[in-house]
Amino acid sequence: MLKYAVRKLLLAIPLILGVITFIFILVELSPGDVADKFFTPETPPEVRQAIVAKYQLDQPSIVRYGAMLKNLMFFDFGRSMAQERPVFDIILETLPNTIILSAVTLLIIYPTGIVVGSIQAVRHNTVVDTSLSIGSLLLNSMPSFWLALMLQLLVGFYWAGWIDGQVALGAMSAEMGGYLTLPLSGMQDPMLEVVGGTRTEVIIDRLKHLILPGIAMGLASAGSTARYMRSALLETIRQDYIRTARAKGLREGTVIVKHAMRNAMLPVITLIGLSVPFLFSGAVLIETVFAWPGMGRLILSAIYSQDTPLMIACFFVFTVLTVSGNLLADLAYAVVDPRIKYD
Amino acid sequence: MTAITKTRSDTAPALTRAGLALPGLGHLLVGEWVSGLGLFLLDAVLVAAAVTGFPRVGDILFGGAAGSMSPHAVLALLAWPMLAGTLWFTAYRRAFPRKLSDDEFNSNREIFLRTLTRHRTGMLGFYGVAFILLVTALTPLLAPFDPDIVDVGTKNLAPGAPFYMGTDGFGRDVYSRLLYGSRISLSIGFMAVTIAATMGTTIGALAAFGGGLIDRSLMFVTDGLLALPKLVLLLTIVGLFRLQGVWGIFLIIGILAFTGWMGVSRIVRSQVLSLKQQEFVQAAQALGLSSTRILFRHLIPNALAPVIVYCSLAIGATMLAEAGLSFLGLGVPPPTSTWGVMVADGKDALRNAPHVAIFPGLAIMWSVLSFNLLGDGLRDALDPKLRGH
Repeated sequence: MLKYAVRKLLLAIPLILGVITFIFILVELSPGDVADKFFTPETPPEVRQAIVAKYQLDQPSIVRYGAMLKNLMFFDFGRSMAQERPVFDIILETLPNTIILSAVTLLIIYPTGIVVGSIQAVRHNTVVDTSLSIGSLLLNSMPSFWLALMLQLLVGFYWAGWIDGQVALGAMSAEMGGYLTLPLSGMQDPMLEVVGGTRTEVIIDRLKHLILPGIAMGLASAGSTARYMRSALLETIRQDYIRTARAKGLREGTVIVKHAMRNAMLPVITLIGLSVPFLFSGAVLIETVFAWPGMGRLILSAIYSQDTPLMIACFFVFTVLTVSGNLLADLAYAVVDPRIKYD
Repeated sequence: MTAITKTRSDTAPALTRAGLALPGLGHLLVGEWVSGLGLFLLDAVLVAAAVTGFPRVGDILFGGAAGSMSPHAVLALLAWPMLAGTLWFTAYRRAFPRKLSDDEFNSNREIFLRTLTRHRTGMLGFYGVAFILLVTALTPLLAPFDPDIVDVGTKNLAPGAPFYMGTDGFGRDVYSRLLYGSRISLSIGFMAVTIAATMGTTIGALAAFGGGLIDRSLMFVTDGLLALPKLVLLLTIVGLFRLQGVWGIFLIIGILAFTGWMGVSRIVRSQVLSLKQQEFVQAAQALGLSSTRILFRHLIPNALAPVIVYCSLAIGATMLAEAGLSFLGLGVPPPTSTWGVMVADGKDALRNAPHVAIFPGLAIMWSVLSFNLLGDGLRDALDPKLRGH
């Protein structure tokens, strides 16, 4: 097992090296002078000289490649052109936000997907099964950014309007109304940020800001998880040990939850690691719609402002996290499924 | 295979002849409601095109820039009778089926067609796709307005006559823009997937056929690219290579193709690996055929069925990716409108004019769903072994 883990880990290194080489080639091939991609015309000449010296921009490609490798190895991503500060600091600020959002999304995807998929499998070929299948298919065909906009429209306009109406009528207290209204964008209530609040207030506020982006990002993928869970559970239910459990006279609920679902869930859960690239792709669109200050929006702003060092760094971080996610998925699968050969 | 061969009949119920009056009616009367309603939908598009388009043929043909003929309009006019003919021919074939010899009846082609036409959700997807293609082909006849004409007087109007889907923040007709946008969205999807499938097939087949170091290095690249977050990869490339105008569209197609071939190449590789062991390949080798000939004439054609299925599913995914890029303002450069751009246009006036964002989103959903359903149907029809998964 340990040997397997080490082997997989060693295989990830050439992959990351390959990705770095790939970015380097892209930057070299892109139009314009290489040096221009690392500072703006307004950069003072002495800073410019320092940057050129540090990244050896006046040297031939192969030397620049070596310099880039060395810098990335020590997580030195250079200076952001647009924000005029080290890229590393920027990423340190934004990465946690994306990780929080991704975690919440995973919390929405897996429980929903597993429960829905199990219901479908238990009620195989009934109206419930078919309608849930159609529902998840529709969600899967929906552009996530459009779903996000529709959620904003529903919650921000119709739902908020209804609550305002109730409060105005006196049917609901203003405090209750405040609890039920969901914020449409950002990560924190600006009032709370300025005035400050108790710990619980801050946490509740953060959670409320997370609900809509989390749903928008997770709903489509919950559909495909449900489909996966459905087929896994259907396969498990046909096994002999399920018949044995039933023959022992166990209640159907116990058979399904304790015997079938436990086994069917294992391969589904290992999918978490594989959903990392999907999460990051979704993050770019959803963070834009909900103005969530995470990595997705960071790479976009880097692209809009032609901030090459920041762009490269974001891409690098995304890649390293994705590769680690895949690695974890491989290891997790090997742990839960002993039939996997470690070679 | 035996499950598919039902009792064959060379004649159809008399009711199917009603289809000759209106394509689809015959199918509906004998209980084939998916085909019946699907054909009705297509009939409706043709009728709508005739009603809105034919009275102003002159305008459509010569009303463009400086009175020059628009090629799209000419194509639409030529396409109309051909498409109408196809619909009637479908109805005619249902009423008077072709007499098949036993060999023909059991040929792969006929079995494939029979399985597909009996696959309900697959046919739903098929008619969904046919609908979009028809609409795209007939756009100049269907669209009541010029999609790019800006009129401040008609800003953000709610849906109603004469703007069936309302107008956007620049006073442009959403319905016309939606119709014209389908052209770009669809062609990007088709072209990117075609290129990706060609690349993927070649690389996958080379890897499997070459074996050894070739296989390992090609698969290393494939797996590496497959592991990357696709949208981030797309964004980085688009961000580094900014191109304007038509080249911008080609860049998007190229990038989408470049990030899409890995799935195909893995499928083809595993197919070719298993086919390589089979006897017909040994026979071909024994006959002294060259490796290239075996690869391109024996192995690849036999490995193509899952590629076709994958392509249908990939078109949906590619359209979603393109919509995402366009939504972020990094896709097709303006003034060309695509559905993703239109959703982005509607984002800013979501409260006052939600229709601007709603309709293009529904259009994307419709096409992606259709291609996915069609892909599932094709999978079942092309490969009976995979059925039920």
